[in-house]
Amino acid sequence: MKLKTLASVAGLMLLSASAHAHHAGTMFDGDKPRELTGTVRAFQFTNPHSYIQLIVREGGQDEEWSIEFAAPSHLHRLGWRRNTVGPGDRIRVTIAPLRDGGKGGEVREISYADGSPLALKR
Amino acid sequence: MIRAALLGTAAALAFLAVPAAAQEADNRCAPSDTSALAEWQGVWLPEGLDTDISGRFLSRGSKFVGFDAPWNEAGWERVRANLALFGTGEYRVIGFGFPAMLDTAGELSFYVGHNQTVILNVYRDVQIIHTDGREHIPADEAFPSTWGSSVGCWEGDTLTIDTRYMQFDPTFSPGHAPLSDQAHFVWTLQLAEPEKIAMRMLITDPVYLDAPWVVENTMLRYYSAESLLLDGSNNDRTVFEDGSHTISADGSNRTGLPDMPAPAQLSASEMALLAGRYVDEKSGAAFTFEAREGRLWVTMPLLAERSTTTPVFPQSARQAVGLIGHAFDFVTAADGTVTAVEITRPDGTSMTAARAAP
Repeated sequence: MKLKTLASVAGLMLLSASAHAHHAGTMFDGDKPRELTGTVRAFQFTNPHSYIQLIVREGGQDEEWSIEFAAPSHLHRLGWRRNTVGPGDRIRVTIAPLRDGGKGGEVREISYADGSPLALKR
Repeated sequence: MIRAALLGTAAALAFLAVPAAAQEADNRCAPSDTSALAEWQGVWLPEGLDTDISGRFLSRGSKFVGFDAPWNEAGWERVRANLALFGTGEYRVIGFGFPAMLDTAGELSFYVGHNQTVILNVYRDVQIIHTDGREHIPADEAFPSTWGSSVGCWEGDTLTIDTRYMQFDPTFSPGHAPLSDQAHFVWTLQLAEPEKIAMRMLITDPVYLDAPWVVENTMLRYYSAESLLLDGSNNDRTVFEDGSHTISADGSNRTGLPDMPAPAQLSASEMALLAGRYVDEKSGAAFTFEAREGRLWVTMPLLAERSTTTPVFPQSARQAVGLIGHAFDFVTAADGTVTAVEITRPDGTSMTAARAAP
């Protein structure tokens, strides 16, 4: 019975950290969300993950961040298309940053820089 | 026979609520009218299972994770071991296998033919269900796989399926129910409504389950996609560095192919000097160079020693490389004529072929 209880707890963790993202989420630090505002250099609507390459101005210098998103099949279902965002778009994202300190992370929220929602096709 | 066996099994399992079986044991499991099953076409989604924009957070868990399954003690130990592996974070999902493929956050399609029905999901998991009345192949001839082996029988709008020889592979379906390769699946698919396919599955496993495990699920028609947006790895930027995964900085080279140096442009007269037939005296191998359509070509023993014609990429007026990496160095006499070609194969071995013609 105890084993079942432990398994149920693990199950809850499993459900929130799903395998549907192709790889484990351990590389991202969900406890330290970070908000970035910048200009999109490229939107890679690709498998197994989509990415936004975001140019962020930090300390007077431009830094490029790789923001990981779901696969196209998942994003498509949420209304995303390959031109939902594109070069030059000003956006704001909240990410779970890479634990290794790299300029990257897994997206949690996204909007245009002024806070308005992206134009999605639902 | 298989129809009778399947329907008999299903009928015995009253909770499966399989529609009344046709009593004729005519060994025909094909749909009586394939055109009547046209509504199965299209794209379907497991009901209520979706992700956020990261792809990591699900609206509900897969029903094949199996925490509600009646595991025996050995089964629970196996579940624990499977989750320990899952918890390392070192897994990579390359598909879900059977039966997890039927309840992922990805779409499915059903292809109903006369002798087989095929289920495909976006993760490129495939389930081929033979409906030509065949029996399962004997266990000692079976080839266990991640997707198992399935035979089925149609009765009206319901397909009853028997799946065996599934081999659990944690590379697929990480964190999902780690059933044994003796697991047996009897399941039905029914187009319950024009927009809904109902699945009921009875799973028995003499190794890890104390009792049959019943899984019920529904798939809803998904109108926003005309076909599956198949998963792949053309931009796999997850790399393993310093003991953990991270994102590679550059996602521009999606194929991973090396850049090749641009070939030199030779004039027609320069190519004409190289054109001709060259023979290696020791092996008898012949190499014929010809210029046509503005390009140099070579016909030589290539694929399984069969003579094959492929383009040649000049590096200079006397040097060139072949399509799969042969290096050609043409030997010139004092009068400027080309007398031989030194050929270095991709494995580093070489030969010299003397000009035989013209």
